Amino acid sequence: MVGKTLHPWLPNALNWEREKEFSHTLVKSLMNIIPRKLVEKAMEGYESLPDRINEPWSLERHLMSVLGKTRAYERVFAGGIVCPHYVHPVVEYLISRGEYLTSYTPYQPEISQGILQTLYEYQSLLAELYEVEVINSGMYDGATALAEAIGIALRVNRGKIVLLPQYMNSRIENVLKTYSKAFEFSIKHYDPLDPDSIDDERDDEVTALVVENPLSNGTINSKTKELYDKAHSIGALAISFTDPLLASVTKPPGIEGADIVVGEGQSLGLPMNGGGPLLGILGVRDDKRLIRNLPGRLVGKTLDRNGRRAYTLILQTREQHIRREKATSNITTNTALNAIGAAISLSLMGREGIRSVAWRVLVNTSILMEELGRIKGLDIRTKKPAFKNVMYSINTVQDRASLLMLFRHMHDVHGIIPFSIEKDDALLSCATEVHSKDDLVKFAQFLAEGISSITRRRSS
Amino acid sequence: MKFGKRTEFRQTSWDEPEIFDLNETGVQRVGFLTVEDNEVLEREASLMQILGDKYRPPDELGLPQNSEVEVVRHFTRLSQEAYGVDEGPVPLGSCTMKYNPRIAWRVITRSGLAGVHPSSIELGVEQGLLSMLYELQEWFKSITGMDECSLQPPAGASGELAGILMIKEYHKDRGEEREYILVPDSAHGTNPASAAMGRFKVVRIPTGPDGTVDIGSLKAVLDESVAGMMMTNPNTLGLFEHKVLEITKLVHDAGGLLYYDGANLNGILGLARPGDMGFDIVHLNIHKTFSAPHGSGGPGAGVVCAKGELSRYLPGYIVEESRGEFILTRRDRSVGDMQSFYANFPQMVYAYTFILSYGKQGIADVGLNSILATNYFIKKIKGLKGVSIPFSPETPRFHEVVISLKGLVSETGVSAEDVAKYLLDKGVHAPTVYFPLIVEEALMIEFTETETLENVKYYAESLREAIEKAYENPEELKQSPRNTSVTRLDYVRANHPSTLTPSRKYEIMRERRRSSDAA
Repeated sequence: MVGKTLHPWLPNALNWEREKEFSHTLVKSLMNIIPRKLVEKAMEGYESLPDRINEPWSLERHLMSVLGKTRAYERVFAGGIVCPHYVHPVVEYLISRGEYLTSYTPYQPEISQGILQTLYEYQSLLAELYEVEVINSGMYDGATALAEAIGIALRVNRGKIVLLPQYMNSRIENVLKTYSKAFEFSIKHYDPLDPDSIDDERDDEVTALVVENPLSNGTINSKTKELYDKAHSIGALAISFTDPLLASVTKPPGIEGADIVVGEGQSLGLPMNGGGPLLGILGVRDDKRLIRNLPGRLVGKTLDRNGRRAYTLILQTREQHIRREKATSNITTNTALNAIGAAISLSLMGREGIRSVAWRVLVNTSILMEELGRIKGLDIRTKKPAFKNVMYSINTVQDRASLLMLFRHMHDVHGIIPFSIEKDDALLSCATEVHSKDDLVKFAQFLAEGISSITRRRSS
Repeated sequence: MKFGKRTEFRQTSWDEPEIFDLNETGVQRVGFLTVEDNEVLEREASLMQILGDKYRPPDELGLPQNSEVEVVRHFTRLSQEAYGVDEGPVPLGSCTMKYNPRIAWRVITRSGLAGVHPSSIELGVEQGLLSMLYELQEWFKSITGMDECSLQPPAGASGELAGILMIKEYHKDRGEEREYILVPDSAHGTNPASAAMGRFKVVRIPTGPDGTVDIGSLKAVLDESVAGMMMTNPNTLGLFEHKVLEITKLVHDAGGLLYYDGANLNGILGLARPGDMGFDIVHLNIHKTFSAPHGSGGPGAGVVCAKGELSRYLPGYIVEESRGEFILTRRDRSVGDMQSFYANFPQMVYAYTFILSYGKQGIADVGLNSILATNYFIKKIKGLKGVSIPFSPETPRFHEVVISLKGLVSETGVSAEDVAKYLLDKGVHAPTVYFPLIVEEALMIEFTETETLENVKYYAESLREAIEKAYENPEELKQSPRNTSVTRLDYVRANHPSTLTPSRKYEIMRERRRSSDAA
């Protein structure tokens, strides 16, 4: 039973044969420990696994036949939480280095300084962007980071009600609903364009007010400051969900008075990966209670015995491996490698680079809005100025089956991924730095043609 | 003093400045060039006007400005001050730090996964990726002995939270109010933390003298207030819970559900399945058992599988085949979404590669090889003065072993942490320290199937050397590590409110406050 399979990832496979007495005695006693019934059932169950593929070239060929095709991200216009952004080769290369890729969480700081300093720089760079003092070293994605932000609010504030902007992205709201079953809070909605609609009297049990920028339909939120103030006037915490790219050219949430900041970090030049993994940004302003209630890992600067600058995980008594059921969250594995990628990307872009990317997104979004506006029967729900996403519906293509037909037509004929279906007939397309003006013009043209082709096909 | 042919280890130490301090000239540099044509400039001007007082001027953004070459060097130098599986053995117990096959990384990069938008998955134009998810669901069912699997949770802990919510909703649907989750005292910290997140009360079940769950204590707390029990098998002591069939029956008889924490699955891969042991819900850690890299702390991926009726509560999406196409479906009583989209895809490619490479012919060898490595290590350290193997020392361990240095610390003052730091000086990564909590001065060691025999031996020798030194000259261990980038850190300074420094912004704010207080 032992030592029969030579395999590149099993260095000792045949060594155990040399240690015959040891290995045979061991296997025999294992079989006495595990109930025989379990072993038999396992062997039976494993029979349905695939046959092994031995040679690396055959394996790679098989994998590429399942996964492989060229995917040009400038042909992706589908929007929502995730949009195509340029992944710089420097980012791709550096995160593929084994030291970053194959290391564990830096619990042994002396041998992990590089990871710790990189994550500290991530925290510091994001703190500059959002203008808050503390950003943790990453959550799963923006949606779960927002759920955990609500968790912070529920721990430090009274009440069980969370106010969300109307029409928040349904994927984010879905995740919040899941977490609401755990944290036991209820969700209510407010009109983000009208802060006065939030009634002081009625909402005295509001724990937190979530403020989006941009709104999920792409419209830049011009009322952020009023909304943060409103939150405070009704005794709620102000949680900002802000795109980190947008924060480089508009007043950041920390300056305007947000208590907790959240964002989806994929905007910072990270891959789309089919939707996961992404990068959840989560931070708080300088407030002892907020910091002590922050979930996730936090890196801090200190000195070593020789007085040399050094970094380590800090305030670990918030975390599950120490506090168990009293921890601020159960999170441990996060998305550190994506945080490292974001740090590298931000370092490359720098102050001018990120601003120019953000401007390009703004400009391209205005072009996309204009181009889509030319299409007959297209109802645009986004207001100017907008960032990245444009929300619209198509008068003649509204049910899911027809939308799917249109989507596939665009994909099959033009190799274009045209939109996300946000909810019912509401669609999201986006423009980012990867699109040229020509890409955007052609996309609108193809979409117009696609719409008439689908409409014709249906009526015939 | 031999590690392969190497005799001395010295980790790189660059004393690398922070990225903010890299460009000493203060002159603007770019690592990222964009060129604006006239149209872009005109549009920018009009947008700036619309933004009005919402506009953030460049001098209010404190990001550094470096050239591309300096950014590459900066992070390359930093990476050299790190130590992963690609550098050497990382036998962290309960972390399953195995080799991460490069072929998976290449396929992830070459296939252009980075360019896949989630809508392409949802609306079915990525049939290849969907077929991969479908096959993985099938394979995970075979490996766990469960009926259905969801690949959505982004990490093990997220799978646990999903499981806890499934338990909560299941009882709720039956009109039952059950408020307790049972967790063995040897469990991973995530178990009680997940249960508490789901607003359950946690009851600790003590470990019996043989190192497994104490049946008597379990029976004493089982009643209709128990919602379920979370367990891992082999447990964190590396011992197989040989009474598992009795445990699952007892909990079921009381109307509770059984949750399997898959963090330790590597030890029984190919030998036994949680589904056959009587578990209702199982999570898997793709970045442990199925060879996805740990990426300095993540991203990983969690899979959650369920049996029978509980499948209706699974989170996220299940891939099904319908009319020759793979589609995403939801279960009718689903607890909802654990992250925005469908799965962590690159991690799934690792799992897919891993299972295909071993196939049904070889996958049982994974578990066995990891068990052999652990027990070989035990054999090599048996009888070390000051070191004990608590709980049934003669019983074979599975994926990992926990040793206690309680004797050593009382005789020499040298602690488990000191020994761990000394091991760093030997050019290997330290084990998990001070866990599980039921073992004093614990070192928890897990080699996995991919660690070479020579390195296991070297690790045992290094431990022996550390123990000998502890009796001869304890001060030397107190002074370790010496060969790493930095020496031991000042944790008081790191955590004290007056010196806490979680970011550059925080540091500057604190210094300003200090100088204004002084003035």
